[in-house]
Amino acid sequence: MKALVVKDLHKSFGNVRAVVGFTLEMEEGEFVTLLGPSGCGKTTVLRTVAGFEKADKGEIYIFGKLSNDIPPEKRDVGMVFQNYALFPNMTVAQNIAFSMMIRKEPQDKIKKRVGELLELVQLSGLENRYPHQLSGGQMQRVALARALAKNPKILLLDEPLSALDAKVRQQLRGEIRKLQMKLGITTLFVTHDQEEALTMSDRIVVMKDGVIQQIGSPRQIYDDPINPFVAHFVGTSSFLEGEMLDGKIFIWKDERFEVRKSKVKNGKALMVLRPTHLKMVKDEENVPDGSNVMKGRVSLVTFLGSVVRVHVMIKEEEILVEMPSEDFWGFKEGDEVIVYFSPDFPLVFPKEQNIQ
Amino acid sequence: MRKSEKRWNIIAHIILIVFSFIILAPILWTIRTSFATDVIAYEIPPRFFFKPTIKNYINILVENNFIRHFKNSFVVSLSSTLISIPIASLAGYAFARYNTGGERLKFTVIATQMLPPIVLVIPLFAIYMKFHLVNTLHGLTISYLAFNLPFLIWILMGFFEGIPKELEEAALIDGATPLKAFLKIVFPISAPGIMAAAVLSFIMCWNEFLFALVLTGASSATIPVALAALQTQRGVLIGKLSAGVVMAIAPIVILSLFIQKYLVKGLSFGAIK
Ligand SMILES: Nc1ncnc2c1ncn2[C@@H]1O[C@H](COP(=O)(O)OP(=O)(O)O)[C@@H](O)[C@H]1O
Ligand SMILES: [Mg+2]
Repeated sequence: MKALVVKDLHKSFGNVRAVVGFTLEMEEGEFVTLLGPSGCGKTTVLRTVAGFEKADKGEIYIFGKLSNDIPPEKRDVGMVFQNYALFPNMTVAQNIAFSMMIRKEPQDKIKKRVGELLELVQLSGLENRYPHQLSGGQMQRVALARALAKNPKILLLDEPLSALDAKVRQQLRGEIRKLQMKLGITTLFVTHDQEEALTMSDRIVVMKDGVIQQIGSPRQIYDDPINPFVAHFVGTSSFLEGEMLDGKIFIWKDERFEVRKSKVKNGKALMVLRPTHLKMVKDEENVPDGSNVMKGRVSLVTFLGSVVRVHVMIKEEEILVEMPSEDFWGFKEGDEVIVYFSPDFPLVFPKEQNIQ
Repeated sequence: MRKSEKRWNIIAHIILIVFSFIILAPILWTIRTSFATDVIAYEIPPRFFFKPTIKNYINILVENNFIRHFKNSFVVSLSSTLISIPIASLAGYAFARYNTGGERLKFTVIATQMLPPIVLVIPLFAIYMKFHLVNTLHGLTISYLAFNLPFLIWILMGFFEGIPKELEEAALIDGATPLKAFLKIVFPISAPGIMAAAVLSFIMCWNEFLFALVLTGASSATIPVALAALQTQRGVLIGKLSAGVVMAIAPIVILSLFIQKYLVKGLSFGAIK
């Protein structure tokens, strides 16, 4: 049985169409991320699944049960809110115990479970603190423990990490994912951070203006974006505007590139180049046969830790090339270089599809 | 602290002390007079040190029936507050959360506060005559309810708007019914605000003069009306009046200390957002 099925969900606020025809099926234990820019309807989907918003149209099934008319308190879901939403009048322990207290479970059982959960989120010893005495990361852990306390069938997380600073965010990212796998809990996660989506998810749902653009594994989304928007939003890319010929040759300015993956046969087109798909050398002899080749000049070199990113000016366009730091040969700003790529890599889309 | 800063500090304090004294002087003088005999009270030049007497207090309570007026004020202020606060809380909550009636109804509620009360008091008197509500405590209570409710709704609405709705949603998703979420989360968080509104309501009723003057009679007069009545044709009974004033402001002073404590407590929950 599917853990969650959302079928053709529509939701408008006045004349703002927040969600349009959203359909998603989740397996039990799956970690799915809704990814998209701010205002694309991610929260609305999550809130509809939680029962805080009523769908204008469409159905929501939670473990096979049609849930549209079930109020939030009767749905078997847990939720972590972006702003934590911890109860300020209660201690950490009371916050976590809230759902059990509502269900009037026996005190000793509550106490035991709170202890377990605190250990699970690594907050043992803080049970008697009040929310305002905690750091952002700690508050988010409490929120997570509180959401897990009632053993929900589905866990909903709305940008739980966005208010935290980079270091804590990265750490919690891994922790949440490990916890999710350990508990095997079906999780729907919302973020506008592509890195978060790529690192945490089993599958990613990319949204734009309330409409799903693509659903796929992080690899699929990154390697095989369905349109320029997805390519632009997930990962870094350079975009070249040109023309397709016979579905095989991409003409850009006076260059002709051979391509194998084009969604256009003839006419105006947009080519997407991932920085990692491009290679860079000083001499033409080192270029493998059959590669597409461009000449340019290095305009900026930035060191990103494990990779080096080089900005190369080619025919008045800036194109990004990335290489592992250990493969970096010490190009400098102003160097004349040769950039090449295999015909297998670039994706070509119709020009009408915008990256915005 | 630098020298110029220090000097500024001293100057600021001197100015503040002067103004505080200007504000406090009449009250301090009233307190002093309330413990003086009539002879000392009217003496010119005034005497600062004398043997205090509580005769004024006893006289006003017994001869001028102030025990009764106190009771009237208490009954009216307390019942008006006890009735208005639950109504205003729920109404303010509904406005804040469910946008009941939209912006227009919100505006209408506050618009009622823009009419000068004096415009309404005569028609209200005429209506009260018909319904035999003149010179009754419940009549006065009803008028206070009508005039204070919109104001209380308005301030409580602001207070509830400050509580993020995610808090209630978190309670709902954790299995609480909407009523439980209100009682366990919203109410405890907003208790300081509700308390402050209640104190405010009580003070507004306690101090109200115009409606009380027109709508009450000898038996139902509240403290402000009774105090005004001490200005007789034979002159102002200054000793008694002072004693009455001191007794009238005492509960307000105590309540003000309360409200301060609650407002501070309300602010310390500021880490909600
Ligand atoms: N309660 C609401 N009232 C009016 N408009 C809303 C409401 N909630 C969301 N919207 C609008 O719906 C769109 C989608 O919002 P949301 O789901 O919050 O996006 P996201 O979470 O992806 O940033 C936005 O344009 C937003 O302004
Ligand atoms: Mg959102």
